[in-house]
This record gives sequence, structure tokens and C-alpha cells, in this order.
Amino acid sequence: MYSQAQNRLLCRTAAVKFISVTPIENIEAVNNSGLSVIDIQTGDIQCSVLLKGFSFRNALMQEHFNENYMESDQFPRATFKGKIDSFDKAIFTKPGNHAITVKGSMDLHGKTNPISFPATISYQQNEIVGTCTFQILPGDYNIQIPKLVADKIAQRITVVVKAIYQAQKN
Amino acid sequence: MLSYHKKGFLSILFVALVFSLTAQDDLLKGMEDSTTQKQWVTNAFKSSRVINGHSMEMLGSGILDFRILHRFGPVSQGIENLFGLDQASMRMGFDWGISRNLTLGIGRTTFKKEFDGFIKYRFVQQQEKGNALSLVGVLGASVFTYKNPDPTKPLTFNDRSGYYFQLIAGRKFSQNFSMQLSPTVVYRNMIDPADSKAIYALGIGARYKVSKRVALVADYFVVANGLPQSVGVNPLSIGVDIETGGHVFQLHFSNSTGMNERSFITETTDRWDKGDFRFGFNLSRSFTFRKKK
Repeated sequence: MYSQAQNRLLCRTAAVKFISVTPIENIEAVNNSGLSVIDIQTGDIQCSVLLKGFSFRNALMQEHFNENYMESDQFPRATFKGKIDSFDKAIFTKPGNHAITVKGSMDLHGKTNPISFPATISYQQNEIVGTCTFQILPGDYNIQIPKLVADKIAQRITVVVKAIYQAQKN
Repeated sequence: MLSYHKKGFLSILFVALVFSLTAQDDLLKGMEDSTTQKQWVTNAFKSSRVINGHSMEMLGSGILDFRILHRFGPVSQGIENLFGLDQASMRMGFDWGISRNLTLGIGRTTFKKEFDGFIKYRFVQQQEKGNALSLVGVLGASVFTYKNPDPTKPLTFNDRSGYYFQLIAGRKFSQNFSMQLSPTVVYRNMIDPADSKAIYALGIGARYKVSKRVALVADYFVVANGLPQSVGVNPLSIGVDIETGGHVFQLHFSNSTGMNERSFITETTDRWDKGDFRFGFNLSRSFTFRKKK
């Protein structure tokens, strides 16, 4: 439940999934504790997810992901800061699905790159749901993949996010 | 000229504007700390063994770790024996991660044809903001099965068997440095008259990570009592861990030949200062046998 008097929407349980698809094997992991905040007056969006929170079905993959690829002790989070393009406040009050474009920067593994992707804001039954899909290239973020396993990891990793927002109380 | 009040009002307005801009700038401010995740500390050591002794690391759930250990002859044997490489003993073993806090292992060493098994349980795991240490307990047993060379002195199953109990307290101090202490008691039945059946020792293990996949490790056991000083020597091993994908290679030099607790703690007689250290390696390959639900 939220009213227009509130300024911010908050989600602490965003589902963030990434998938790497190659002919040899698919690698998939999910983090259900993604953090996301939207300012409904300005259209600013920020999201943050803890890398050690990604759960893999293969425990060894999870260990290597954190220890060798993402170096999660050094770079614990992936953070997105951006804005809804051509922002119209009405998307948060008008029922239905609204297609938007989000533009901003992604900070991952110690590197920040501009990023832009389509997303959907959905307002129905007093719930605001944000969903999006975008791609990350490990090479853009200095994530080193040894030649030995290069054909097991896709060059473009697909990330899928779904967040259910509530009014931020403060 | 602005009046005093107007100036004051404008400066408050300015401060408020700046304040609101910075507040907008970082919507996540203050939110990230209150995550609900427990933030377990992992990878204090690259392997479930420091070199000889158990490390504070556990296998993941559903992981099978196939381990091959080789210990060669003393380097002091010189070029004729290729510095000990001609003489080798081996242990083959399987460690099974039943859950993330429980590991079971079995193995067999060529030296004395000794079978060994253990159960390893982690009571406490180090956390980033929380538990300062990991606490792991290991209970193991071994039995050597070589044929009795002297039929006049029969060897019972009891004679051939030994047990050990160990508590490991370890901490990953930084991304690069970890250390653990393992008080251990080894109990064996077949002993020389001068020995005692129960041997108490303190294990000290440390790891220094040099790069993402390479680390320096040291494994030392101080045998507190029970072995005659003139014969029993504390086992000291120093080596390098190299990790590639699912394999971990541990290359090291040690003065001990034994590859299970009973053996390397109570049967080490060679001395580093006499050149009687030997090259050895541990090779382990992890397989995922059961995916987590």
C-alpha cells in the first residue's frame, strides 16, 4: 500500500538471477535478497545485490564464483544507479504495465560502466512490480576467465530481475 | 544589501537544497548494512587439509573429493635415488560432503597397508560480523593390515588399530592470511615399551595467499608428550597450493612420511636439519555428486 505522499519505494527481496548459456554447460544462480529503491518523484532507481548471496546448485561453482571470478571479499556488491528515461510519475499510479527505459551505471568487480536497458513497471492490486532483463559482459568488468574454462562461460551473461516494491517508511 | 534575516533564510535554504540533492543521489545510503544474510567466511584454506592435518575448511554439500597423496624418500638420498623420488608411498582417499557442516572420509595408505576413516563436523563457522572463529571437530580411526611377519607374536585387530580426536579452531584473518590451531589426541595400541598409548599434540596450520589461485602453506604439529624425545620428531611441512578449476595441487616438503594422523604425528623420526625432509604432493579433485536443492 502506498500513497503519492510517500517519496520512495523499497524492495529488500528482489529476485536477481543470472544465466550463462554455452553448448557445454549452463550456469545459473539466484539471489533473493536484492535491494532496490525507487524515488517516485524523480525516477531515480538504485539497486544493490550481495555477490556472496548468489546461490548455485553446485557448491563448487559457488565457491569459485566468489573466490576466483568475482573476488567477493574485495568487491562484495554489484550496484546499479540510474534513472528512468522520459520519466512520467503516472506509471506508479495508473494500473497496468508500463514499458520504460532505465539508464545509469553498473558498478561490478571494482569497475563502473554505463548501462541502459528496457524494463517494465507494473501497478496492479496495490502492488508495484518492477522487472527487467539485461546483459553483462564479464570482460567489461575485468572479470578474468582462464582460457581453460573459456568455453564453459558465456561471453554475455543474462541477468533477470524482479522486484516487488512497498512504500519506504521514513 | 540583504537583511540579516534574509541572508540567514537563504543560507538555510541553500543547505537544505544541497542536503536534499545528496540524499537523492544515494538512495541506498544506510540500507545496505541491514542485510539479513549471515555472511559466512569461506576459503580460509584452499583445501580440506592444510598439508597433512585437517584444515578448518569443509566440503560443500554433495561434493566428493578424490584425494591422492604421495610422499617420496628423503632428499638426503642424493642424486642416485633422484633425491628420494625413487621411493614413494601413497594414500588414496575419498572425502564426502554430506552437508556443508559434515564430512566423512575414508582412505588407504600403502605404508603399512593402513585403512583410515574419519568424521568431521563443523560446530561454529566464522562470520564477517559475528563468529570470530570456526570450530571443527574430527574423530578418526585407522587400522593397518599388513601381514604379520612373525607368527609367534600374534597381532590382534586391537593391536593394529588407532584412533584420534581433534578440535580445530581457525580464523581467516584477512583475504590473504589464515591460521588455525588443532589440539589433538592420538591413541594407539601397538607401541614401543618407552612410549605411551595416548599422544597429545598441538597442530599449527597457516596459509598465506599469494595470488587468486596460489597459496603458501605450513603445517606443524608439536608433540607434547608420549614420544621418547630422542626418537620422535615434530612433523613440519611447508608447501604451495595451486588451484585450477576443480583440482587443488599441494606441493610440499616435509620430514614426515605418514599420511594419516596416527602416522605423521607419532611416527615421524626424520629431521629437517639432517636433510631428511622429503618431497610430496597432495592432489585432490572435487566432483559434484548431488546438487543442492
